[in-house]
Order: sequence, then structure tokens, then C-alpha cells
Amino acid sequence: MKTVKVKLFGGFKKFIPSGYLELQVQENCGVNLLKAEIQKHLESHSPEFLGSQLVFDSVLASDVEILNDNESIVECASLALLPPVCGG
Amino acid sequence: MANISVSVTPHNINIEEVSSTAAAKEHGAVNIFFGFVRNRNLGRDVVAVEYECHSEVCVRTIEQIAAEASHKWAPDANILIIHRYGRLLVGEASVAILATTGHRDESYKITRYIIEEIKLRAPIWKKEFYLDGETEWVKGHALCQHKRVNHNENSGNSSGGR
Repeated sequence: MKTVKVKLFGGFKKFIPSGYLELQVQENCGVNLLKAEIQKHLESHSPEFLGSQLVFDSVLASDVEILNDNESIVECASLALLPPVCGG
Repeated sequence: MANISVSVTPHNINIEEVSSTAAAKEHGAVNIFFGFVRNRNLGRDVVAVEYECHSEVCVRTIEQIAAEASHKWAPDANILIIHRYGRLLVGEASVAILATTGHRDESYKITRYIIEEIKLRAPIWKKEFYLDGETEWVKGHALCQHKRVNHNENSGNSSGGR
């Protein structure tokens, strides 16, 4: 097992005001599995989140780029969960 | 080769400073787009907004967008983009996009392309603060995984956040 830190942005802060999650995941955990773990964590900590699609409408990113769902999480110093965007 | 400068900042965008950016002598067109915070959205009275961004990915994404625009319409364009983050009151500028090019058509196209793509692809989020005291994160556009940001594909010079 390894510890993964995920920074949260935008609407996720409504559910996790600190904007950070720390999760224990399998060594070979991929992006898809991590998103499922985040969903479980958010549902267990915030009943409002039950049934929300926000995690699955979001993408995970490393410090420099967006990761594909089928990628494995290697040695990312920090990960970020990016919900739908609204700049401009 | 294009000259591209992208920054995200918590400080006010200085409209006079952006507007006075000089064009190169071979550039006959300067087109500038400013976005401002409106006092109303979807029927609700807005008093302020808060922008949040993932700075590193945001700057790289916008640099990529600017490089695409330059490649499409004016490889020698000068492009300046500034996006605010933090809390902004109604009437404050949230974004500035300046393009100087040889002729007007490409400068219009470049600024239009950049603002539309920023709305779709830049990791920026907006929380609205309403007159009645409520707040809401504005629903936006889901990011695409296949649009990878490759910093090495950028053309021209780029600067990071300031």
C-alpha cells in the first residue's frame, strides 16, 4: 500500500473544505481505481455527495499534465483532481 | 516565431498597461479582449466571484492554446494573456488577451480562439457570491484527457506565472 495525496479544486471544496485528501491505495493503483476510491471517500464523509458524478466528470493531473484514466500512478509528488472548468 | 507571454495573477489586471503594449513595427493590428465580472448571472445578482486555478497546468495549457492560435493564423504574432485568480468584485477584469499581428483578421481570430479555448480547457474554477449571501461554484466544461499539454510543442518564448 502507499499513501497518495490529492489536491481538490472548485466544487470539491464544498465537500472537503481543506481541499486535500490522503488515501491509502494499492502500489499498482491506476487513475480509474484512485477515482473510485476518492468517490467512496467523499460519499462516506459527505452524504450530500452520494450519487454525484463530479469525480467521474473530473480528471486527475500531475504537476504538469492531465492523466488518462487507464494510466497507472507512478511517483507523482502531488496529484490534483480537476472538476469541470469555468475560466474566462 | 511567435512571442507568447502567459501569466496568472492574484493582482488587478492593469488595463492601461496591457493596452499600451506596443506592437512590432511590422504589425499593423493590435486586438485586445478584456473579460470583466458581471453583476448578474442566470438571473441572480452577483456581488463578487472567486477564481481558483491549478497554476502550473493552467499556464502550460494557455501557452499551448496560444501556440495553436499562432500556428493557425500568424506564426509571428505577439500574444499576451493574463488571467486573474482570487476574489474579484463586479467590474474587475478577470482576463486580458492581446494579440498583435500583421493584419486585423488574424488578430481577431487569435483572441477569439484563445478566450473560447480557455473556457473549455484551462483549469480555472469560478465561485459566485450573490447579493442574498449564497455562494455557488459555477458548473463548467469537463476537461478532456486526450488533450495532453506538451510544453515542448510551444512555439516562441513563454513566461510563467507572475
